[in-house]
Amino acid sequence: MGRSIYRKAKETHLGQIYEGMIILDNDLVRADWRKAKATLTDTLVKYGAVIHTARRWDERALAYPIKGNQRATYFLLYFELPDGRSSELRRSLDLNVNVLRYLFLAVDEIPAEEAELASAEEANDFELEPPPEDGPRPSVFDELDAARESERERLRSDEDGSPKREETASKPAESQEEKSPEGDTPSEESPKAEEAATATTSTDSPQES
Amino acid sequence: MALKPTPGIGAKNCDDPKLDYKDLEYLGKFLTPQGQIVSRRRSGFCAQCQKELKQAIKRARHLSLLPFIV
Repeated sequence: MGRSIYRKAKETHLGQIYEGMIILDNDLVRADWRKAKATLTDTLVKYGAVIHTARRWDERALAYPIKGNQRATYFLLYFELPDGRSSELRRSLDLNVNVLRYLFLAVDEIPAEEAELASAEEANDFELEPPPEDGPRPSVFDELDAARESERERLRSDEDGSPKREETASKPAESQEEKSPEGDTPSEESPKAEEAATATTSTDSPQES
Repeated sequence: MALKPTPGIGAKNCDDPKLDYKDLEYLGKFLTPQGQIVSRRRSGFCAQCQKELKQAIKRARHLSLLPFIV
């Protein structure tokens, strides 16, 4: 039966090889990706790590937004870390604003193709296209926000506006009652006036003739 | 009447699973349209490989490579 190359992280012995996947904010990468990579490796070195390979794995849209970012850059590193420094390193990355998320795994060996890919990226003529903008926010979130807002308004009106509703409900009834006699009288009177006018004209006309 | 066992998606690959959290195309085969992990019955993996599949998908979800829910 096949087994995964990963195993449970053991931080007990010196010289353990770790695979680290770190998600960096695109703003930092857009400014200068070599500098961003250097700051990342420097952080690891500060806590006693020996870095074997470090490369940009991918720049992609996130499956779900992290800290308001729709896109981010993934860095893949293979490094050795001395015993007991893992927690300090994790704390440092937790406090770093530009590190959106990270994952460290203990591995048995570094994949063979990793060294080639990392060295290709370190060449001076290697150029990286700047990551694209985050783009417009998906319309799904706008719909969700609108639904949430309408729900809040409804709850607010239920809490505060229950007596108001009664007032508003009683007002139209009164107004209708007040209005109805005024509104009805002209409509009733007007046909009578018209009839009277026609009667007078009909009676007067033969006499004149 | 007992249901017949159906050949799963990963039945052929159980001997040599490439269960890496970075292999999103492969892991995507074991997700339902809603983003849930398929059962052993559908994946065709043995118990050990199914656990590794679960672990790989959860790692990918943590890194926002795969969604928790679609």
